[in-house]
Amino acid sequence: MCTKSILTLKMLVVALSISMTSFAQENGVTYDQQVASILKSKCGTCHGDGKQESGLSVTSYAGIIKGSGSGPIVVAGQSSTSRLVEVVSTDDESQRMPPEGDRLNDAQIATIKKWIDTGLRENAGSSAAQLRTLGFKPMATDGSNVTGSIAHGPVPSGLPTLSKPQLRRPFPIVSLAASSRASVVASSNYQSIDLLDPLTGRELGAVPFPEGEPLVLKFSQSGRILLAGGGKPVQGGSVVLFDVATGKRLASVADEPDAIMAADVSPDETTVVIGCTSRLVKIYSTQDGSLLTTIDKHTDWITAVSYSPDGKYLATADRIGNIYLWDGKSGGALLAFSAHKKSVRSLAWRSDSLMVASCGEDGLIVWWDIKDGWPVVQKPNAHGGGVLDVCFGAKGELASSGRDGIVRLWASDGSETKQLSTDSAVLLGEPKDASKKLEGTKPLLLRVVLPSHGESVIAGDSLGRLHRWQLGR
Amino acid sequence: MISQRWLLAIFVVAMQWCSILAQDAELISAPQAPSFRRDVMPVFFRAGCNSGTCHGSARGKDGFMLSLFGYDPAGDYRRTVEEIPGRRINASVPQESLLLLKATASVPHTGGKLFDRDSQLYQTLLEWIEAGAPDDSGVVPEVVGITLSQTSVVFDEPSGKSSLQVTAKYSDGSTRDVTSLSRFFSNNPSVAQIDAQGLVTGQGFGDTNVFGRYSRFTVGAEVIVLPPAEGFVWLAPPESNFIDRLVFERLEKLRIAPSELCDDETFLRRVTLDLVGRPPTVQEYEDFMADEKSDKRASKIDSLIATDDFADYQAAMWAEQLRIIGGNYSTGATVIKAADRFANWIRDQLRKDRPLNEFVSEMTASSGPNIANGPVNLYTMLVHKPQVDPKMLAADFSQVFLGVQIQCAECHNHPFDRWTMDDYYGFVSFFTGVRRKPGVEAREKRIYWDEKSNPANSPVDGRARPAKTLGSIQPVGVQGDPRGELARWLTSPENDIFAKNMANRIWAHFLGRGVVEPVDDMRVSNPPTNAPLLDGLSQRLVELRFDLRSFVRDICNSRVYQLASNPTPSNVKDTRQFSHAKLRRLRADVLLDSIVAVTGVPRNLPGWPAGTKAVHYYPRVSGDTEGPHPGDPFFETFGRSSRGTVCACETKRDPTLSQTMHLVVGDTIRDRLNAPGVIKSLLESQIEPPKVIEGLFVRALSRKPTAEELTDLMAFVSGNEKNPELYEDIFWGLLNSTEFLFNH
Repeated sequence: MCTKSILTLKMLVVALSISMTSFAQENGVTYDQQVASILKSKCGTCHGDGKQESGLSVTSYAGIIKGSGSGPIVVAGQSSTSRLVEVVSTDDESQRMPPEGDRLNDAQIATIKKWIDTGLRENAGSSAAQLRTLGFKPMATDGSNVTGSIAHGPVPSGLPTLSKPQLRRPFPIVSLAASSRASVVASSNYQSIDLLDPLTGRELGAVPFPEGEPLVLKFSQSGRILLAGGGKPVQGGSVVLFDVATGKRLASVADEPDAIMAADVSPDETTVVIGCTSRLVKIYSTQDGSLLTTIDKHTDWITAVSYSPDGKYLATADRIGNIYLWDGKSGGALLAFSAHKKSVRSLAWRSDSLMVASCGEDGLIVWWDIKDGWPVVQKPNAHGGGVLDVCFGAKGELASSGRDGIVRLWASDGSETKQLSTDSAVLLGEPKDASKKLEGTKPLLLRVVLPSHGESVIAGDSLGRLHRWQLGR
Repeated sequence: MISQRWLLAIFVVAMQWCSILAQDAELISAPQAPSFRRDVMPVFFRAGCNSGTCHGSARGKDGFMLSLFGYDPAGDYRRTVEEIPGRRINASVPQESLLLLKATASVPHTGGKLFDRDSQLYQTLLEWIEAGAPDDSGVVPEVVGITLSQTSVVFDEPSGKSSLQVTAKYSDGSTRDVTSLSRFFSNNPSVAQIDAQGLVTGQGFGDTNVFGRYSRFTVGAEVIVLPPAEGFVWLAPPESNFIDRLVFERLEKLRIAPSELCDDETFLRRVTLDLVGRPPTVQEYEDFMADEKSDKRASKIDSLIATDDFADYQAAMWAEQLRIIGGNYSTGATVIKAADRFANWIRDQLRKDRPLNEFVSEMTASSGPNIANGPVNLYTMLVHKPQVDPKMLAADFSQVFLGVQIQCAECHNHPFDRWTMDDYYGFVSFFTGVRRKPGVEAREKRIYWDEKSNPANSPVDGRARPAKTLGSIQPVGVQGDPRGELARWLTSPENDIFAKNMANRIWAHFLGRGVVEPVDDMRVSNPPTNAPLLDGLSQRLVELRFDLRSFVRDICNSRVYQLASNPTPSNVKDTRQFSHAKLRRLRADVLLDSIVAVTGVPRNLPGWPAGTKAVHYYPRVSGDTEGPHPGDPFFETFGRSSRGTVCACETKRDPTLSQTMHLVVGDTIRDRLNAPGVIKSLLESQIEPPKVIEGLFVRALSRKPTAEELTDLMAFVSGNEKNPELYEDIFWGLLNSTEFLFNH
């Protein structure tokens, strides 16, 4: 009897807590209902209506939105960058608030975070922040559906044999690109670029790049042109455009004092954009090689530049974590995306040009809505030690690679679908001394591509090897 | 035919065997690839890549960062090899690695050319990259210490030369000559220089130290460049106690003759200013000069040391070091009542001869409400902040009580001392649980140890470093509040860092310079100018069970303390070996008290009752107590500690132009000259003008005028012998003289 009643009581409590949870989820967190009471009791003495230390009052909705004397303390949708969350959760006691007495408990901090992430609602009457999804509809920019079969882009054939320089060991795969129009992948080599068929692994030839190290490779939207940017570190850098079908050099633009680390060619193939250690982004004409625009907004090395597939936008990123969105034609400033705390390593556009993904050494991957710079999905600690590359597939899926030596796949809704280790991969290309194990060096997966046929993932590592995983349908 | 074939076969087999042998030999003799930690990082160190002005700076340089002098090998490997694959290290075409191109200035490099392609440094890097720039696997023997081939170099002439070799000892017991990978520096290049190969060259007479650095170690060798022996005679001055023996031994070795003993007038003024913070009164002067006993100096010392004034002056200097300041509405816990309670507690301890180690120990381990309990204010005053800041507290605590600055090791191993980041974070963990909460009285704070607190984490690996005393291997390993263990270790007679710091600070007060100077920066690369003296002083302090009065008595009774400030030909350039008394400008508070004492006109201090002596003053403010608070403008002008930091340099003794201007035209002296009293009563009581002038001299300078001074001043007053204004002018002149402003 006694046991039974306890049991019933327990069930009741469980049932209650479930209903409470679902209630909270339905209605979300608002300032009036949950947040105000936490802040009033913990912070109100010093940051109230009377005493407003640092010009901050948290006891009114208007006050907390206004922020302190040194700026806003909450940013809608971004609890991780909100100063409020930082000061209540830090382990640094000289920084932590409240300065004396007990710190906020985990549940209280979680409530505040949720309130920020769901759009800083004042009360139940406030319009809920629009719940965003990645909402991807597979469409090619020219209107033709490319998800089923590969459109017929050029494939290299009959390329002259290249005598490659003697290397002590394979050069790291510092760049890798896949054509969206044909079964062609380009991968970096030292002073040359290797081309191969990702479906069969067959080599399609190589083109020379005597400029030095091809640090960036991109296929144009049409699949007709291969862009290679790079050079010799602190000696010189430029961008070369190759004809994919014949391997011929079409043009060379830019002349930089350092190897070019970031470059892209516009979808209409009229301009080339480069980013350099000089902290400048430069846009050149492909017709006459003239410098059209210089962007001097960045304050550190440019690590990634990328045109949107529709050519309307240009995204640029740097080594301290800043990302900017520009008008793809005029170079006018549109938005700043801030989430990364360390170097951004790569930018990738989704084929519908509505979403750009970024990844960085801080381990974070972000899907940005380019309408307003909203970070729709953020994946912290996506790869231990740092994320080195991201790329979108035709179906809106994302692949990422990192210092942990792993490739991850993310569905078009941002959920992780696969984790691929190099153990389960096939090595592509000529066996580059795979047997010769290097003591004390651990391979990093520097680059990843999703070839357009949608059946495999290919990643290049720091030992110069290409790994392929079959995905199957 | 057959035999020929056989021969051929045997020949072929033999050839193959030989080539197999040769292959084996090649495998065996193939040199092992250089190790990143053992071979490559020393190149970064030697070439200066990881120094503070280059890539070792906190944010690196031109985009490439190395840990300062290599405290973080794993991070350095990652940044060099893996941060941007293929760029800094190109294992495919090794000689194209940016690391090599930059170091040899083959491409533009802000740091210029560091070595040639044919150098051993280049070769080491190249071989490592050719081997694939591997990281170290397994345990790499660590450097556990280094030694120099000589610890003392004595040159009989300035042009002397001598070579030093550096030997590193590793954790596996092996040793290695690392001279070519070490860095060298001299503390005084005008005495001796040391070049990159460790060759020491004498430059000028004197003594200094040169240092060799390798890995995280710095070791020094003393270098003495002797003046000519001809004409130097050691006269063996009489020795009063161990101090004289230790100082004179050093002086004899350096061929420096000490000055004569100072005269009685100078002695009386010096010892009175040093012991009780004011000049002698006229009565004291006359009594002392009339005393004909041979031990009158020792008696004078005894009587001054026995006074409460002695204890109070010492307490005032402790209050300054511990940053006592009262702020009634400060966000910290520096309420005036607490400040008073703390200051009174310190004074009581010193008046009743509490041994210095017990006194410090009680403060260190204290908890409780800060208005009721004085010593607990160590945790409210040392660091004025809204919260207890464990890092700042650890750094300031160490600077005050150990004379050691460990804060460098917050971000990297101390580059010029023995302290590592492990030492630093272990020491910080003594304070990570110190908390304040509201006490019983209004604005009272209760200091307690939070049992739920965690030790400090080292940023290198993010792991906790439990409380550990400096230099020890194991944590103290106590549950809860570790400060009791800290107090025990700190003030134990075995802890010579504490005893040396105490002895050195007390010595510096009386001699105007520490045996280690600055007194709060004891480190390997700032060694004592006379190591046996510092050892002797600290041993004596321990022997006296940390009794301040007995220790000070020894110092004041030494002949060294009583030497004249007039130099001899051989000691005129000496500033470090205590061969003659150092001229010391009076501390700001002692100067103000002295002006008040000789003019007989009091000076009110803001926030304090009339008659309060300047040495006892500390700022009482209504608001925030963080930041500098000089208090009275006089103190600001004359460099009294603003209590902004614990640094000994807060108390400034350098003369400035504004000080001169203040004394010449400011109100401190001007308003006190014509005040009724001093001159009027002299004119009335002493009929003869020479006696009036003499009285003014004794008052201001504790000495009689010389015959020449008297003649000149008599000429000045002649014809107007009764006009007080002329005597005021004379008094003004005396108070503006450097003789009055300095203890000499």
